[in-house]
Amino acid sequence: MSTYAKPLPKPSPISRPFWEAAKRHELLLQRCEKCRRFIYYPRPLCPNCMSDKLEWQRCSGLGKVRRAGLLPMRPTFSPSWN
Amino acid sequence: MSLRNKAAAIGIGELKPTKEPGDATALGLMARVSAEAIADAGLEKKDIDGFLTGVPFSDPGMIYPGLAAEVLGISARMLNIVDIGGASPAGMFWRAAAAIDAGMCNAVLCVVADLNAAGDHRPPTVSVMREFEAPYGNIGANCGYALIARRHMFEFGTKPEQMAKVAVDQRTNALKNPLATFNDKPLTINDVLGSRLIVDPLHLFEIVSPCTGGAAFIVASPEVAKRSKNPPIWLLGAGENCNHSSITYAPSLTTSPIREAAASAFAMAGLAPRDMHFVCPYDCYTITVIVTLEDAGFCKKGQGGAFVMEHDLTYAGDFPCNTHGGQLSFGQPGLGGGASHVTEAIRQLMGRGGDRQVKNATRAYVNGNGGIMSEQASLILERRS
Repeated sequence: MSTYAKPLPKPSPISRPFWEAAKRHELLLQRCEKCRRFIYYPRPLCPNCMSDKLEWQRCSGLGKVRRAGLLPMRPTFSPSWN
Repeated sequence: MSLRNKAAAIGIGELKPTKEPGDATALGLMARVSAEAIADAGLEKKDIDGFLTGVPFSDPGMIYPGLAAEVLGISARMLNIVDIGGASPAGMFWRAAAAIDAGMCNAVLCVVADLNAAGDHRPPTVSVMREFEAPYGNIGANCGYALIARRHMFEFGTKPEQMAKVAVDQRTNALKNPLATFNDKPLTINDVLGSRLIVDPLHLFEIVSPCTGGAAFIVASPEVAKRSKNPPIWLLGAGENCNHSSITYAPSLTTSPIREAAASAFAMAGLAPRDMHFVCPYDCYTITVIVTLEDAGFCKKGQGGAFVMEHDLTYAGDFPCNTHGGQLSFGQPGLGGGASHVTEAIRQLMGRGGDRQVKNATRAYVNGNGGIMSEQASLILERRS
């Protein structure tokens, strides 16, 4: 496999399952077993109900774009205010 | 519990920001503005018994307040860092008042300083940003504020020239401020909109400029305030709020936690926005001022653009706003950028506004803003007649 030039994530113990799945081209999202809400990004507790009973659910990767913003920018810049 | 009239600002120290780091150190700058503020208050170093500071981006250190206090030769009964970004100085003001009201100390030195050194030297502990934001292009503040500005334009029809007006009027104020970094020539709306587009829709002159500098202010008990040589500037109300860190997870792009912070501050003061004589809203970008004026209740949500066009935001105008020039013209010496709104409100209320003095101004609204419209601290300050 050729080298990957873009920045690679440094998974934490909490996010590792997400990135390992991504490497397999699978989308895993955390889901709270108690309140059933989806959680993104991966967290130690459910940010809604604080339950620590979280499961990983495989998702299709399909969804609806609710809002989009376009940010034309250079990858690097050093503006001068003078 | 209320902090109304429990403590007052009695002295300030502030450096003229510079674009060059020179051979200054953040601790050296802190020492200079601290000495200036203590002398300005008519106190001696031994009178200071509380110490609040922020960790400079250019010289981060662990267990920082004790180190900084040691360098300054200050012994304190209460010391801490306040780490809420640009809201830190406003956050320090009410924390100082709370410590005084609790009887823990009598005179609190609040001090921040930084160098215009490339990059953020703090250790990259925020792995969430590294993992889930930066790789997808959400890098730095420009992107977040561009999203906010773009969304504000979409939802409410806010126009580029309305945002530019904030920078133009604030520059008019800066022309009368010898301490401002950019005080040599006026700006027009065309100048702002003709400046380089950095991240659409933000132009160069709508974006704060990093500088070297610092500021300090002293918050004192009523007893200490009585023997100050300056008129005490009383804290009437304070409020703080934060509901996100990354703008990605903010409940709204266009309504900020300033709504809650300002409502708490006005409720504590028993006053309303119409009772204010001038305002010092944090201005890292022009859109920040528009969102702040809306969320703090100076106009309705979505009408901030029209509001800044209809009102004269200069020191001589009907709605004086950031009479020091705002950070946009004053410059942003790290956390000292957010201190400039606090020190300018104190300066004006003490009647030391010089050529930009707002006439008969006895009450001010100040807001400090951290991150991407995340940490918010609002203050209501008053000089008693």
